[in-house]
Amino acid sequence: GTPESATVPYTSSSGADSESKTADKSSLTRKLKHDVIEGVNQLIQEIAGCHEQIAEQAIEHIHQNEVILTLGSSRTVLEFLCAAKEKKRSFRVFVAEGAPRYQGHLLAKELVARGLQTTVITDSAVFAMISRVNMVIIGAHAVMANGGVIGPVGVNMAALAAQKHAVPFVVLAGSHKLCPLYPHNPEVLLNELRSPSELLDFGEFSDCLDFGAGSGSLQVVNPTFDYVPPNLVSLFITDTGGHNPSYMYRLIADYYSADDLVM
Amino acid sequence: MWRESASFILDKHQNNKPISLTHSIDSPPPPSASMADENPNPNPISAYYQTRAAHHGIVTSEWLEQAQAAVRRYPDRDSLVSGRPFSVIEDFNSWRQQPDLAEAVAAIRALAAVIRASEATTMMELEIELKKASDTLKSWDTTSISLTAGCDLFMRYVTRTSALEFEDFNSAKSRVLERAEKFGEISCKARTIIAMLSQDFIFDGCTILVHGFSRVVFEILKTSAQNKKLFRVLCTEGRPDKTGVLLANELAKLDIPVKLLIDSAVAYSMDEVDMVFVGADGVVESGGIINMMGTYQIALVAQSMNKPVYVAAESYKFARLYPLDQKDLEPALRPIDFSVPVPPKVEVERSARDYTPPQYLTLLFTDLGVLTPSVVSDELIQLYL
Repeated sequence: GTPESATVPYTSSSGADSESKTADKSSLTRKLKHDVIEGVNQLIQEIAGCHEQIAEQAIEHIHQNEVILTLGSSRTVLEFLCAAKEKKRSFRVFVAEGAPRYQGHLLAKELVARGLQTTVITDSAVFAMISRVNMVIIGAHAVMANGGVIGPVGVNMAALAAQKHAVPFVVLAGSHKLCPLYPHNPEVLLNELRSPSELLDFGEFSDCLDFGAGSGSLQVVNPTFDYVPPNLVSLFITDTGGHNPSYMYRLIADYYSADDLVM
Repeated sequence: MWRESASFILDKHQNNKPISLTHSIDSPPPPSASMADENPNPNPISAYYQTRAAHHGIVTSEWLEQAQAAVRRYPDRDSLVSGRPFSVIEDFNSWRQQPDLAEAVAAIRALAAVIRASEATTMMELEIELKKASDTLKSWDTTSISLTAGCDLFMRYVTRTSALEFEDFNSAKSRVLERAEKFGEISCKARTIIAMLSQDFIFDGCTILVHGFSRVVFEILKTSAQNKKLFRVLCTEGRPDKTGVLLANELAKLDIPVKLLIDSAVAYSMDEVDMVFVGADGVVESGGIINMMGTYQIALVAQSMNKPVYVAAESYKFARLYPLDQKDLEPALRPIDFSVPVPPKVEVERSARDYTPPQYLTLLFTDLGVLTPSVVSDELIQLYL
């Protein structure tokens, strides 16, 4: 539902209005508070319930004896795959480990615990395995207004590999992940560069990383996120159903009032 | 007087001679000669491009003489226009002469002036007068998309008002006039809004390829320069309008590094380009654009090399057209000057514009916000509803 109450104009409850309207003011304030609280509760419910609604659609997309590729670990993807398993579809999952945090390992353990046949592969093996895969399913960190996806680092590579071999690239995203911004510099915008210690051991490399030493400097770039342009995405599955990337702007317009956008 | 630039009149006379060495003979017959009363511009050459050429033309004394001779040759020009004291075409032309004013905005101002000068006593009469004025303007130049779209949108914006339920006609009329002037203001401010929206997309050290002399794109580049961004512009030559040289002049005045390319050198230089910026003559329902000849070519090259193509267009250029291919547009022809004589048997492709389908465009910057091509049809529905 649309949290319309969140955009109630903030008119009477601010500033020093005439004292004769104090009684009206307090009741209006109470009503405003009530509306805002209701809106926030609605939002909480939506966020909590999105995994279930997305997982309900799993049975339409995953068919018998298919091979699914995923990267990193996403709770939405886990529930999606488990929902299909519960409906007695048997399929295999390839999990790319998602260096440097190796969250793919955690996902693989969960999947095995639920009885799914899982294979763990390195990120570099994605292109080699993609021709054996029927569908790539990943979770998104954010969905941009043009239909582009911000996901864990490595998904752009998987998307490019999928395009080369005509494998459908499906992105699961709850509607709270929609973002009204257009990515004008996607590699930098909204990206987080993490500590190099995740890649290199400080002890061994401390002399290379020391810039003042004069022995040359080693730069380490450890981005958390990747940007996938909209033309590489085949389908978005949100809690409202399956959509084309070019349709995502409509969902964003439903959730964000035009006044609130950067202007 | 400005409707037909003098050199074009002389060329038309040359066309009537048995052998024409500079232009092809088979120019299409003037459209709707029977409408000469309402359409005081029977020249087959698209008036829209004539205006643009006139704005950009270099005035020499020789040209001035020709212009005066032309005016003398057609002394009955003024009497062709209707004998009413106020003529919308005259007003429109007086606005249009300002090179900085977009054609649709000039039309909107002229229509607002129609309301002001109207002697109608009922709303219906005022609406009918407005419709007639709008039709006159549209038929004056059927090839200009922004003119037609601007007039249509103005009509919808102005008549779609609850002021029509006022009891007193004068207050209703003043309300309508208010809306008309507001629409004019919005259209004027559109360029500043677009320039603001596009600032994020121009980063330091980028190279921008520009085609044609769009005043909106120029405003964007000007604003970026004022915000102290460091970037470089490649201009295509823009044959035969010489838009590249003119734009290069203007940019050089702002101290922006400029490089001129001939139109054929676009693919050659595309790998050093970071983004392509073009304006639009019209934005169609599919999300594609109609723009100066050469835009489609550049968009194709940019897409094949993964470079984003950004379009800057005001919202009054959104038109209810859906061209399926290049020939689906109403032909807008203009003379092309090859410096060597072209034998009469040889045909010349004289179309002034082409259609770029939406799949080659990345984003459109409009005063309604930043849009992807698929959003355009939604916005169009809202505008025209």
